Amino acid sequence: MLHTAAAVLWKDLKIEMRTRDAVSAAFVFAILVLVVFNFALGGDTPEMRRLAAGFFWVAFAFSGTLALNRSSAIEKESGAGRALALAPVDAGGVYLGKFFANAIFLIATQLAVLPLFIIFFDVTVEASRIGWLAASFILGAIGFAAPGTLFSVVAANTRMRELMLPLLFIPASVPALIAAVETTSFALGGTHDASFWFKLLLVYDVVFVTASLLVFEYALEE
Amino acid sequence: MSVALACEGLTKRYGHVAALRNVNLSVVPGECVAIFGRNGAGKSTFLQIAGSLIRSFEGRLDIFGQDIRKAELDTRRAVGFVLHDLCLYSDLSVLDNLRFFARLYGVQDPEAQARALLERVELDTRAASTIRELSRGMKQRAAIARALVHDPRLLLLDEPFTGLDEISSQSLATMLRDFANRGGTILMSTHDVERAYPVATRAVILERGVLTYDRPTAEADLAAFRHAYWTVLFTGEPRGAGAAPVAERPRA
Repeated sequence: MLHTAAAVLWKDLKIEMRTRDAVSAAFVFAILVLVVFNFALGGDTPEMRRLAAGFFWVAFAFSGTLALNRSSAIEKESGAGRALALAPVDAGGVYLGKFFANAIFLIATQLAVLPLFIIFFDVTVEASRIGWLAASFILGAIGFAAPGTLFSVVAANTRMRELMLPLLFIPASVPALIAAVETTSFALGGTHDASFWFKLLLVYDVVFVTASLLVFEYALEE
Repeated sequence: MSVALACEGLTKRYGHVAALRNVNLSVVPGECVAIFGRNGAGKSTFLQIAGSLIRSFEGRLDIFGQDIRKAELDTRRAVGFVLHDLCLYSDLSVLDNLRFFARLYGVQDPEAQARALLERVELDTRAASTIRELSRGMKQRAAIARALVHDPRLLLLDEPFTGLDEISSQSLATMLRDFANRGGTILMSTHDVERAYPVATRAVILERGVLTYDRPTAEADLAAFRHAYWTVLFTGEPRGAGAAPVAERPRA
């Protein structure tokens, strides 16, 4: 399984490094959303800083959907995904490879957006809370990529895949998004205790990666 | 004698429509079988069942003596499939595509195997080109290289001559003969009689999901087969070239 996962991960990273489609589209879209929020709520206010984590994850949810759509689209182009389905490999390995690739693309998007987010919303991260910010980004991206990878393959086999993907998986990822917002909010100077949300995010990630791994075989069937 | 592919009572229905009806076929190693038929005759459905892309069907299909429903992974290792789509990643280079699929199939040395195949299909000078940058004929050769990357014993090809010019068709025919000469078995679906019949050692006609003609190509020249084919297409009955109903003929 890990051998297959490594091959699929290598393939997806290679395609992304060549085209930069997923990360660049997600980055541009995220920045546009953040710019709109910035102008709509009017610059540097304490209220905006309080809500900044929420804006970040809303931008991430929309832009991440673009990246996930791209991930499934490369399997549909020229029927390459059918050749993948023909290979004598464990479907779980294919899932893991695509999941890791998607998580890497999403984290890369977050890192690319972060500097502009800090400037737009005038937020600061204390040194003692950088670990919380990193944890919220990584676990949030995993929580997004785990169901996203599964549902992007399901949606790819439907007639309106661009529409179907957010309809299918954003409701499923709401718990992860809420937990990620709360954890990021704490990392950006929030006063509430984020340990509950951090644990919820961790549990969500473990449950969804495991469940998706088990059912991915059925998602691959057309 | 061992059998590369054997099916009995193979039937596939899509709702109330039967794409294949009680198909019985036995193919021995080294044969190159061309399955002719009009669009919608069931040719591609037959190949997709043989390639494990369609798992729900009635009847039985064995690949090298193994039931494809019981030994799916083993039969997949034995089969190379050139689908109507290229089944290659457009933004990867030809070499990277082959390396990727070689790794998936657990080939010992993916790099060496990929380069050897590129030479075999005469694409070694375009190894670094992306699939997107290739001509239609080159893409088809790359697709065949992808299907051969794990040294399959049975090669399935769905409409392999579609969109190819004369030179590319000749090149494809040479590759198929080369594969058969190495002991490989070929099953291809096509409606291109002029190009496929001379390559094949046996011709089969599917008409509305029913096997209506099955003869070695040595027994009928191209003109005679063309006549038989057109008769089947227009009447649904095997005529010409002395074709007897399939059930009455002895099998190899």
